[in-house]
Amino acid sequence: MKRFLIYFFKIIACVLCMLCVLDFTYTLVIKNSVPRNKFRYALSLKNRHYDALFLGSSRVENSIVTSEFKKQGFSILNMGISGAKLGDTYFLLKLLNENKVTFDKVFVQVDYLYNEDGIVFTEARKAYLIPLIRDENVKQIFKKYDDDFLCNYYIPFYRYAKNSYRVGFREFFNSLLNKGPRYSLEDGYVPRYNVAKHKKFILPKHKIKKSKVLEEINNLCESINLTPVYFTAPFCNNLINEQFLVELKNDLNNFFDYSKVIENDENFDDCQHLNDKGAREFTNQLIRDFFE
Amino acid sequence: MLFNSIEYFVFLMLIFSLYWVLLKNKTKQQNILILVSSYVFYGWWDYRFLFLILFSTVLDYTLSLYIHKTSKKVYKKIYLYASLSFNLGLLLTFKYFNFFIESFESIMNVFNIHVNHYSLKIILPVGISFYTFQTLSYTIDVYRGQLKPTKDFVAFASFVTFFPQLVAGPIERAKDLLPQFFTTRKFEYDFAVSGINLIIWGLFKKIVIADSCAVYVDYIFDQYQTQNSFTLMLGSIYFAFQIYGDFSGYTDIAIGTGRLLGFNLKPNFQTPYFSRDIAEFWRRWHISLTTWFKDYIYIPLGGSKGGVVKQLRNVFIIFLISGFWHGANWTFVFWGLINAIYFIPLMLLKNNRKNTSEIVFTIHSVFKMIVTFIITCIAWVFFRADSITIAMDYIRKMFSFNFSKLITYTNIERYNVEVVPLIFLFLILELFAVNHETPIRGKMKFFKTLILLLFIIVFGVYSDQKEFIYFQF
Repeated sequence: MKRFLIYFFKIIACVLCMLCVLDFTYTLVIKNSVPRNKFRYALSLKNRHYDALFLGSSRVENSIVTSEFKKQGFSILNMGISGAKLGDTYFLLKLLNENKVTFDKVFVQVDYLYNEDGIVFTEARKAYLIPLIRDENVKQIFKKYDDDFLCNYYIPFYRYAKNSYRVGFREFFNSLLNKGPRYSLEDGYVPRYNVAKHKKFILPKHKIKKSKVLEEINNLCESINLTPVYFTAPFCNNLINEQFLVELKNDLNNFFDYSKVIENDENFDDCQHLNDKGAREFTNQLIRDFFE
Repeated sequence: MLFNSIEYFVFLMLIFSLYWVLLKNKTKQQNILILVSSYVFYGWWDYRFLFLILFSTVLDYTLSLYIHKTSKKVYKKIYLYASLSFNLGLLLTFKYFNFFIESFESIMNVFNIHVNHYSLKIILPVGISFYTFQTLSYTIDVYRGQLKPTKDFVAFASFVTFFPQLVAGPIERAKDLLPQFFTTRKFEYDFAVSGINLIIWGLFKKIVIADSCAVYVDYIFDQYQTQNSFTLMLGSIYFAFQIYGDFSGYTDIAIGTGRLLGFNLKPNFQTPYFSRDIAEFWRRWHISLTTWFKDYIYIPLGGSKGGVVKQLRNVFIIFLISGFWHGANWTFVFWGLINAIYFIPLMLLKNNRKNTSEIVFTIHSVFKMIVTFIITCIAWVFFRADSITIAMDYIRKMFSFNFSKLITYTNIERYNVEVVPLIFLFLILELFAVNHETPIRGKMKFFKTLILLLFIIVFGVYSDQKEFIYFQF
């Protein structure tokens, strides 16, 4: 038995060593590679100024055509992230602010995202930041909003294992090759090219009374002397529960409803995402409304 | 409690310590510990179904004693049929009730007869097919006079619920496993280390191979209509490795755990994808189920004796039941049927026992292995697809040879071929394991163990832990 226990603990000791070495190597490589997602890109920006910042989910990422702004001589940052909730948006804004990145205008996509319970740091978006958990700003966010903070912070390699789908070996390998993402982070716009057929989208029936995360976003913007512009990107014609947007309009200051601004369904990839043609049309509408 | 979870690791360490430190050489107390821990292990999923196992255990324990006690053949038969009825009745109710009702409705609809939809909201108890077959074999063996029933209820209950193999096998025979509950278990270093090696190898198969393939398999089968032939072929290959890695991984961990407690469980897989024909594949795949069917159904039906028609009948029966055992869906039955069709030419040409020797790699045998693997992959499509229609459509698209773009970027943010290198790595490791238990053998065993652990840590899928596929059966 004694011999077996020695064997067993030798294995455990070796595994612990492996975990430490792997944790160190992964962090070193990922940290020193080119940013491969928008959170990392936001952290790489320091002391920069933009005319506008766009925040939200894929409905921003696929709808705001950065090059259209560029044509008109405006510099914007499209920080829409597929699957992001308002909580993720808030953290992104916080990190940009801490890195002294400034803007003249901040646009925040608010629609069904409004009904977020508390401040949610979604798992997938959390994974983007987790290699940098030891950076002070990032650490503070995780400490406050991640239930698994202690394990992520203190157990070597735990954070990479638990998020292996997003920051596992694949991410490590691509970072080692210094391979960027499939689209330009600087541009931030990811076009879609399909044409929607018989699609519909169902909004929630009613909005929740108060959005805690929106309050935080407001406070943060106030602290940097900005008034955020809240907007709803276009939906296709077959939108159910439009009353929800009316409720938002009644309750939110500075809210702009663009849900019906693109009338032709051929400009949609699916009911809640514009295709490239639609995105360009919508972007030009925004330029006309806010920048001319 | 999943084998690939931290809870199980802690659970096993605790049981191991109590078992070998506090209860060393105390066989009866060790059995009680096994029984209690098995109930805890099973109750972790759903404690309500513990009563089902307990019922099955008490029933077969009692009836077997009666079978042994009575000298009248009629009574022996009655007791046996009682056991069969209750056990199979439970299995049919929990696993197949809705299937039969729905199939009946479908048949009636064909004849334009409308019947009211009726189905029960039944949760399938984990591992019911496995422990039912294990207890059945005990009662049948007692009936046949091949086994003397035990009076030790704790030992018998421990045999039925032995946690390492409770939920997904291997399906042990009482004559092999039960006597081990009566002998004093001695801790042997080499035996325990081989157990650890099996657990590590099993974890590699499950966490690295099966779970990595699962992501792609789910995507390709869900979106099969928009995929090209090459991706669909990859999908079926990935599933072949997913199900093998998943099930044989489970078995290895089960056998390894058994060894840590001083028990020797039967092997359930022997590198089946190196089989040279489908008959050999079935001698190497899910061995405990295949032999169960052989001993309790195929041979009593006459086996390969008698005329060609009888032989054909027996083969079809055995494969269809085998398919049906896996799940309440026609896709499984069809999967069994396809395997029967593969098997029949071998049987008719009396070639079904041709490849019984150890695996050797020659050009000829490698060619046969590839052919066997391809036909196995085609059959797996039926196993994985949601319906026979979908499976047919999948296969039709797969053989439409539309190779427009081989490497495609999928909406799971990965290229369709990304898992191929892992499969090659696995095949290389499997080559080392041909005719052996694990690739951890020969010189530098400790170093090889560490390499395997490194692979598990680096390539393992932990973000989306998947249950073992065979739990649903």
